[in-house]
Amino acid sequence: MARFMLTSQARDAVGLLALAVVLLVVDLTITGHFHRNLALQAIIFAIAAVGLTLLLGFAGQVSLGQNAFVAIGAYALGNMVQKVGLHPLPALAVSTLLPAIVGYAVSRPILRLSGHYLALATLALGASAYIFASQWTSVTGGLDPGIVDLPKLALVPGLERDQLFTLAALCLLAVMGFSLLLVHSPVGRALQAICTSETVAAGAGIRVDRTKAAIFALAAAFAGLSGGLYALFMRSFNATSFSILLSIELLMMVIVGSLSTIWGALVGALLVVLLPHMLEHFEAAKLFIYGAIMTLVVMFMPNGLASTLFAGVNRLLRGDRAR
Amino acid sequence: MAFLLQILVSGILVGSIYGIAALGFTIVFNATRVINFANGEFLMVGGLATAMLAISGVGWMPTVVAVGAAIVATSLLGAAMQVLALNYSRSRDLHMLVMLTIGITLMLRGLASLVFGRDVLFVSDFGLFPSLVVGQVFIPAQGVWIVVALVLVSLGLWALFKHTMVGKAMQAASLEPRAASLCGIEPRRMALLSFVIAGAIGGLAGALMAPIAPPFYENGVMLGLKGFAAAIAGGLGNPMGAVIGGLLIGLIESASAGYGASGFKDAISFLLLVAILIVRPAGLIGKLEVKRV
Repeated sequence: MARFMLTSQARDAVGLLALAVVLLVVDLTITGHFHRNLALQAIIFAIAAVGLTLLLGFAGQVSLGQNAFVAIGAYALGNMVQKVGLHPLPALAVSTLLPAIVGYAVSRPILRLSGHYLALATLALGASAYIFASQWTSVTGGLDPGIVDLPKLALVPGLERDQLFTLAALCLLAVMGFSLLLVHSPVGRALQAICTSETVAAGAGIRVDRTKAAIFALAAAFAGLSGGLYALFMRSFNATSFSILLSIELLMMVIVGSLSTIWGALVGALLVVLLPHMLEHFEAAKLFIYGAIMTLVVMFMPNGLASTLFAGVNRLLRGDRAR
Repeated sequence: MAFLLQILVSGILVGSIYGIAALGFTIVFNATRVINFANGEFLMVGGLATAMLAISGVGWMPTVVAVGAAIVATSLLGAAMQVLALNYSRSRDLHMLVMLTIGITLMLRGLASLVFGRDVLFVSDFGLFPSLVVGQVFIPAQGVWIVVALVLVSLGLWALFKHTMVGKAMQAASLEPRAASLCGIEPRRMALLSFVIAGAIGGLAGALMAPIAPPFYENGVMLGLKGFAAAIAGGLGNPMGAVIGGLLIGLIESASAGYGASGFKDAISFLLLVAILIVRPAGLIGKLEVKRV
């Protein structure tokens, strides 16, 4: 039993290493277009989901408007590359920073609200973002055509293989690493204090407003990065990608994954991306089965799939069966 | 002037639908403290069921029968939600229950696409009232039905919560479930009742709006959002607040559509709503709850 008692920091470090290995193996071995694209989608969504896990799971602030920041990220990249003529990498930096700034500006008034009222305010943000994406055609191209024909990512010229996967994997590792460090830092503990009680947190000397705004901006930045990568992945996209359903999917990833650990976002993203494809055979019933599985997970695994899985693995390692 | 009046009329019409949608949120919230995101799906199912039955319906008064059947269907749906899902949820945490309703929303969309197909269905006006033209203002016949329904339903709910033991028991069950059960109130039964009523109201609203907004299996999400927004804007838990919130959103939308920003009308109403919330964090006629730590 003692052999497996690692500190949570050490366990996360090992996990990060394992993730890097898995991503590398996937990058090298999976060559089929279809499976590669699925994995890539899961990675891209996971980046946004990690941000939402920090916001919802750790700071306890619900957001139903993450689609807004994904959209800003995607359109920033599209415009930077096509209209400004920026290289995709600095453009990706813009799609991370711009949502962070917008997120910070929006968060100051919005985060005065809490609970259902905050849910509504962020929902309004997400719904409005979709409307702007479909109506503000000079920037977004609207519903038709949207942004079309972004160049294929070629960071190392002359290299034939698909480089976006590697870039996305690196982004995910960076986001995970940063978030895990954050969770174990005093900021992470401050977030959990805020989640428990803002009054108590303030009493303990935590600057509640600033911390909340910062984490909101961080979640927005991750969502923006995810949006930028999404734009590079799709190369042509329109406003339909950024409806409020995207926010609900991200929320599902976090809930189905886990609220209490960053790792849950990976499990959730994988499930939400893969499930619809696994249900391909069911055609008409696809949407229903998808919804039913989501419902059952929330009903019977309220701690999330990831936490339930981890707990199961832990029990196996320790050798004591659930009695 | 006629233009302004026309905007007012259509704003009140649309707002009445949002108001009825908001009442469903209000009643479930009052009995359980849960925000039921699947509420918009009740309207969607109600509309589709009406359309389905009215199209294939034969014999006397097909519309009345269709609407009645739709209401029964959505009430059963509400009951099933509470009995099969929320009751069995491992977590009693409110946030998780809300998430559960989001999962059910996805499921109901899927179910509707299976049962009713993925086509937009059309329903003819209910009739009985004539369409009116007053001056230069057009008042559609279906609008009269909707406004009358809103008035009746909201008065009914107001009376239920203010003047009947059942209504008070529902509120007690959500505020202090333990104390309520000590007084002989069964919180689960109250929750069930609230879901059945919300389902019935949703079914009615869906049926009433079907002739002016053709039902489609994807409609539920937007109706849910608008209803939620209306319920919050007025102050959560207050039936009158829900109606006022709904009318307000309807008027803002129709005004912004009328004065040249039709594409942005939803965005304008949502953003104004957030502005209202920031100034009055507990809604237009709500009171702030003080929480002890």
